Amino acid sequence: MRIRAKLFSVFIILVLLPLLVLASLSLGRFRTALQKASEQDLKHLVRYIYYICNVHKEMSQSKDQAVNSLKGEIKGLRVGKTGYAYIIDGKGSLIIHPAKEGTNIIDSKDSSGFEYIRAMIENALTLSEGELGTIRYQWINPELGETKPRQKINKYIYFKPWDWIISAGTYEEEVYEDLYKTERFIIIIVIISIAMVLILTIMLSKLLTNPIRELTDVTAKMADGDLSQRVNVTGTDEVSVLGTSFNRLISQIHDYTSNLEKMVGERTKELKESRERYRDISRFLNSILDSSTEYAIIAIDLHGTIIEFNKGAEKVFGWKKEEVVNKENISITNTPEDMERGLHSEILERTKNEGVFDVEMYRIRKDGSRFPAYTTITAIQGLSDKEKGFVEIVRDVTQRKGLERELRETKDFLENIMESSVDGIITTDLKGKITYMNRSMEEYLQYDRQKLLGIHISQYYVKGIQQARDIMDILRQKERVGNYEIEVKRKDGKIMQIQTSLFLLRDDNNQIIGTAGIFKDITDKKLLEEKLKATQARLVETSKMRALGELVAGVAHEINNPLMASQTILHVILERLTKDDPGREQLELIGKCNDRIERIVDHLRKFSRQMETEFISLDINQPIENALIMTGQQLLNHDILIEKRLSNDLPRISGDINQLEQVFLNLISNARDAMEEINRDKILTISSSSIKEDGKPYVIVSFKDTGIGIPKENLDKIIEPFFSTKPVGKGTGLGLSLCFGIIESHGGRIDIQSEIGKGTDVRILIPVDSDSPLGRRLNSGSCIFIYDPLTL
Amino acid sequence: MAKSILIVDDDEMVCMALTELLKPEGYEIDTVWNAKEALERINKKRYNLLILDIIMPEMNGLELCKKIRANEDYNEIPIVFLTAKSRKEDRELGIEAGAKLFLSKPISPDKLLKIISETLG
Repeated sequence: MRIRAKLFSVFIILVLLPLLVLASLSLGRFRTALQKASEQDLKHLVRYIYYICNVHKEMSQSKDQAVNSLKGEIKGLRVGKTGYAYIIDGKGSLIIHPAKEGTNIIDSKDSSGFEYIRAMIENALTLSEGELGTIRYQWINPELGETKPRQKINKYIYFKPWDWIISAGTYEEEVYEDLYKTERFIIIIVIISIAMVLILTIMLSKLLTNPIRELTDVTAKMADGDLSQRVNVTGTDEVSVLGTSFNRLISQIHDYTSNLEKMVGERTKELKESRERYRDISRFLNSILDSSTEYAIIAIDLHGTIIEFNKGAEKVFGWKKEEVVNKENISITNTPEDMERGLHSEILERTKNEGVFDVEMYRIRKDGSRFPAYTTITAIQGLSDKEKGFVEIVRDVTQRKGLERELRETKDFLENIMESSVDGIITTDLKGKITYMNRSMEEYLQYDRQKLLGIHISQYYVKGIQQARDIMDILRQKERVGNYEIEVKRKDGKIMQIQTSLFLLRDDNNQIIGTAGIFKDITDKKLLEEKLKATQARLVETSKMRALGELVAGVAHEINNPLMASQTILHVILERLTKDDPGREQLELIGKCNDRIERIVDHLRKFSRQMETEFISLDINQPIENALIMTGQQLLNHDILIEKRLSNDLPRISGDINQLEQVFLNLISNARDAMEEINRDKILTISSSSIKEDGKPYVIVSFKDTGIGIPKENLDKIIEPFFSTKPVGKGTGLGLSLCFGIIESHGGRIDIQSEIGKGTDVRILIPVDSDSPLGRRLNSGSCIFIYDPLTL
Repeated sequence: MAKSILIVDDDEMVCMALTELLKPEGYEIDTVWNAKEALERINKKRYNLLILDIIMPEMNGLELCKKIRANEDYNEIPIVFLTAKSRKEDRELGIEAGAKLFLSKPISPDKLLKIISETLG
């Protein structure tokens, strides 16, 4: 098309422009000529009338005569179709006019409001003699049914002698009518010539450009891929030669392209397949990325700009993927403090060096809220070195943190309880190795508990491994044991009595994972219990004695009446019998029986008799000496050697001297009887000394004989009332129990040690006189037993 | 004229035995088993010696002794307690009540005869 455009431009420059210049020039000139001729007509008309007027004046005609003669002539004059001439005086009154003679039109206005008559008259008065004036104005002639104003032209001259203004006017277009006709004709001629030239030009350009265009079309189709097209070659001109070589070129290209297409087809197929594979993998990876809704996965480039943001990230951070990808920096998820400290860039730097980096830090959501997050950052590398960046995997650990805190609090709470327990708490694994112990247990054992962890618990059992096995056996059967008593060794070797509750520890699957025990130290309790038991036994003994005493007193009283009656009757009978009465012997036997009854009852009465005892501060050696004075001779008679080892500086005791003397007499008597039938040396060793027991001072008196000894089975019984091993009639069995009662009332006690064939050692312990509550109690007179030495 | 003795003891056996012992000695013996009877008896008859038990139903010997002493006729009559009681305070109570002697059962018949004989003069 360019060729055609060029042809057109050449045509315009060479043909159209000169033609148009010529036409416009000739028209211009023609118009000027015509215009001048028309205006000339008006001028001539005006001048002609001026001359006539001049002639009339010359002819000395009066004005009115002239008007009459002129009237007919001027009214007959016509200019063009509608033009006419008229005469007006200097005051605006029409002198001669085809239609309005006699009217004053000085105030007439054209369609634009211009007072053209006044303007004309004023101008005309200034004209020199014979000079013409021209005026143009717009005029609508309603009489002719006109609606649009038309340009009117008037030529005028001033005729001074009669003060007349001679004027002729017409519509300008009427003046130019011929001119317009000629113009139109010329324009039509020009247009026709232009059209003809155009048609010629088009035909010529077509002729020239058609083969080229065909070539172009083929090329365009070829470019679109259609190589089957060929150029239609006709003739032998230059364009045809070009077409032939073009066709050859196309054939070659066609060959090349078909090869290329084949190759490209194969490659495309391969590409398609790999793209398909890639798409699968990519879809797979994306679905993985998006399916992890708990983990925020964010990829960022080296500058921190977010380039990937999965569903999890949307959930965790509250941002939408579209809001952040390629728009925001990762710093929007970091706290301002961290950013200020440069923490995140430091992390990225470390990740770059180490590859992977884990950190727990606070992150920020879109709404500005913070949450603890566990972040794993990995450095990634794309295909080129430039495609470097990081992947952050962020997990909101608020819940985990909460759970952790709750767990920690629960653990602290339980540990607090365990640690503050006064009972020892200990746990072991299945093998019995210690896994935990609390502070109390540590205090019990006195070991540093850190050193005990992992050590087998049986090491601290007195019974060792057997104890551990016993416990385990019971636990396997019963799951738990309460109030089980064991003995435990302390670091200092002391044995502790422990009351323990044990149970098995099981895991979630109900598998036994160990044992736990709560240990209560009952060593002191045990000691107390023993003491209590002893005290109780003593109390029972005492109350037994009291009850017995009351009983015996009653019995003695009841027996005494019949006994006295019997004795009296017997006496009366014996008085009546003669000396040699055969019945006397039997009656005397009854008398002896009565005597024995009397003695027993008397002894019983002494045993039970209640009398005010008299406690005074005394030296224990005094009643011992008194007793020896009374029995010394007797013992000598029995070949018994007395060995006295009495301490001279004993503390004084509080006691009843007579009762104590009675006790010693009793013991001496027992020793004498015990040594009655032995062949060894008969020695009675009597010693006194002072000792301290449980921090309290005591005076101790010992009677040690070399007699037959007391069988073990009898040792417990000898303090019981009426227990005696002596032949009937020799002892009542009340002696030692009386002694026990007396010593007890002195706050002391009697210990007896004996060995068959060697002898017996009776030791009496009496507390030293002090302002002890015991002494006061004794002085208050609540003693039970009395003893009358004179009636022994 | 034979001396008369009133024995007051709730134990029949004791009364019988004492009667057996004392009658051959020439004493006139009356026995009663309780204090009420004893008081009636002393109003009817004037005894030379009263032997009283202490433990008796209704009124004991100590009270009886006081009542007897309240009787003008018995101001000076010797009263002897013969009782199973032997404690020192019982003895003191007995003397306080107005008895001349306090004897504990059992007592040998010879000793008793001797004491009675001495008491009656």
